[in-house]
Amino acid sequence: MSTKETNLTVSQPSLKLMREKPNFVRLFANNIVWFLLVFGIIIMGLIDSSFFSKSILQNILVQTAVLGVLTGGISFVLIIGEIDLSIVGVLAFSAGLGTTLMNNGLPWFAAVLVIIMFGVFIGFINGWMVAKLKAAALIETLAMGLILQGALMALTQGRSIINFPEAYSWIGQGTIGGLPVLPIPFLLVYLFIYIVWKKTVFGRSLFATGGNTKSAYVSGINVDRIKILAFTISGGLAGFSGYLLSAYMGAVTMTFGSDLLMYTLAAAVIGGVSLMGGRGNISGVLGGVLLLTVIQTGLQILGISSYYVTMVGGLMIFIAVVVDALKTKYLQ
Amino acid sequence: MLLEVSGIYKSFSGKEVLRNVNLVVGHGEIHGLVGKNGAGKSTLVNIISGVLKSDKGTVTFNQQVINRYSVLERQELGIYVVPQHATIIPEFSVAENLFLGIWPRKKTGFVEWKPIFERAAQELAEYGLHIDPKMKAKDLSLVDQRKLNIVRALFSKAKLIVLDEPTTALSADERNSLFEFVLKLKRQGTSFIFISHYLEEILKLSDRLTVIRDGQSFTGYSTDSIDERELSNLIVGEDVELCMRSKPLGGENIPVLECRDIIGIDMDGVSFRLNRGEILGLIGFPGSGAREICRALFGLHEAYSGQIQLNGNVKNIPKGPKEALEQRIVYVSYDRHQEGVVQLLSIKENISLSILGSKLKKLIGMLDTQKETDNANTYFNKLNIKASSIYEAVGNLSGGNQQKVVISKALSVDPSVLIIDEPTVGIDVKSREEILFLIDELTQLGLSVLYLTNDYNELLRVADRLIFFSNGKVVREVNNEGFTAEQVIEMRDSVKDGVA
Repeated sequence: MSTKETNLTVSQPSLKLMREKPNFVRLFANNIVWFLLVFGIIIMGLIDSSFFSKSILQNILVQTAVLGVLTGGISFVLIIGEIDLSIVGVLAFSAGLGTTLMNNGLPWFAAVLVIIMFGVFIGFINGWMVAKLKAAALIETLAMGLILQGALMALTQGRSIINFPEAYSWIGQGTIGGLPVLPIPFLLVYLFIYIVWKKTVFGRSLFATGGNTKSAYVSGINVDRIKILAFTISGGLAGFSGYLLSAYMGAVTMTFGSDLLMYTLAAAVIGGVSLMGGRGNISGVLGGVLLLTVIQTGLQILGISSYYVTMVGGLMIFIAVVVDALKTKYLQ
Repeated sequence: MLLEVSGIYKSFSGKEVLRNVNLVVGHGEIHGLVGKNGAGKSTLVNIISGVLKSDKGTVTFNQQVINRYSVLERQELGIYVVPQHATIIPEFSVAENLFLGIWPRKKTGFVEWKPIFERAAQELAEYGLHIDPKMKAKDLSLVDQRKLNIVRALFSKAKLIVLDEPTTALSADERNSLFEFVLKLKRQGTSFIFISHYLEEILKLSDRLTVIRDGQSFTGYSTDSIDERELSNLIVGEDVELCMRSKPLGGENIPVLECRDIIGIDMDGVSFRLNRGEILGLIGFPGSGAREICRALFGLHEAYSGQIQLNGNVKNIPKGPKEALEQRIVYVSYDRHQEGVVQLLSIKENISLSILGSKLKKLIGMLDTQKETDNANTYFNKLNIKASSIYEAVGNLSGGNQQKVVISKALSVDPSVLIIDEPTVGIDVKSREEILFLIDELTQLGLSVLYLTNDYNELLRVADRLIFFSNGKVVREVNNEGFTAEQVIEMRDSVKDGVA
């Protein structure tokens, strides 16, 4: 019955070594979106060397801006394990509302404020409904999105809103020293999200709430408040991206931004944000939105007939999601 | 022999988790399987049930080598695993759960619903389980749910049933009822592999036992030839020092927490006093008010009226955990998965959760990362958490280490009252003693503890005073002076009869 001969501590270091070993694989798997992005750019470049031109790379950053800001916003909601399908409705209607008021005499900066605050307001309502009334986010935000897209139609009676003052459009069309302005707000938003997620009490609470709401509550976190804030930020950034898109396009049309929703979700998931909540990092999201834009722009540049672009784009996203799913499975 | 496992080796990505494991189970035998978390028990069970394939070695069932058989084929032979968490479908009736996957069908392929209730009632009665087959499974008690799972296995002609920690979260009486049920089935010829962290259960119920330690098996012990102390040494591979309560603080009884007439669901005027540096043991059946008052003091269970006094000041009963934490009352839940850890977050991040909005908050909501790391490291070392670093995800840790993280989180608040609810369920002996030693040590520094557990042996080792609950009231109070677990059970049952 004597068991003294077994020395437990001896086996410890070797155990540790075993664990370190697959770190390189892990690094690859965790940053797969960036590897795919580099891979995608190289492939595009090999097929058509004009892909490496400064103007196209600039163009990609510009194209990414709206999708990027929108995806950054919805990521807050995805991390708490909920979903926000109202973002494109918010984007469209808030831009429509702000620009209509502006064309009726409101100063441009006030219009911008209206656009953002309207998004914040809708986001707050979504959050309040989900957190306090326990509404199902999927349906609630779907309804909200439909209302707002319909409201844009009602507001404009089918006409496009155009003729914006130059000051309003500058953020989307202007340049500083020959470089487009649009990527700047986009990258600033990502810097802001990085700080919020990594360095603030709110960010940590966000991930805790998404990872296990009950545990977070028992740890003294006001989970209702966290949820409402997450939706509010999502709405606010959706409004902001509405401002960016209208400034870039110089118009608010009927179908304004309506194709962005699925790309937003795809970009977030490819970027490593879990739809179950609790998992995600902003560099992954950045990689995700860049990857999708590279694919889309690439397909246009390669001159693939527009009849095929949607299908090929969808296929690319599908492959990326499969890779992501395999990665998750492997890491388990 | 019914089951013979011999020379099993298994590695996961180069790490050997089982090394020459042997185990033999006879007909009508209850075979105990014990080991620390992460020792390889689950891997072994998965190899027996067919979820995993071994790298080397054979599994023989009824003289038949079944290495290559799938889970389904093994179930047809009669090997069933009843997992730790009851695998019932809550919204289905008992009968539907029983017939899940083996529904009697008409020729057309549609399920024949009519006879299943009658047949279910027959089967249940045959195995001595008296529940209404039309009841929804979610309305069953925990122990009946587990029994239902066992009956379901038997119903599919099981010859060997693996019970994976079947007594977790059961009260002592429910445990006994489950044991009687198992013993009855054993007499009818069914064999069991019984996995548990409670050694006295293993010794009481099983005929022979196998210990798994660091992937190796120590097998064939008859439960008559080994006592609890020897067994726990065998499991850990070294002498585990059992925690004994050090002498509590001097005689002056300074009350820290006084509860007066707290009324709520299952609480009918709870009043008691907790002194500084004291460990107060709470004893009572489910629904007697013992757990309810623990949760009410932390704002997780509603109290309609009543009053508490903290350090002499009258306070409101907390309306939520946030308020309780502000009053420096902390609660460690019996449900580690639901109310304890966030699996995806790291050890460090989990430990910080309770102090995010207070100690770790800097200007404009920024996180004090330096302080956070220091705090996490302090508890990481103090509680001897086994992990590569504080950055490892809590989901990767064993149960015992997860519990240490939950306790670190609670202690980070610098609590004056620690409410601890089944802190050692499902964790290994060594972790358990480390946790008990720490609690004992902290009470010397003035921490006061409400301790709720059904493991009376453990409770009697650490508690200074015991209070008994019945019908939502404290009905008896004794100083803990050398009682045995049997005496405590007797006292608990007598106060129940006295009131009812």
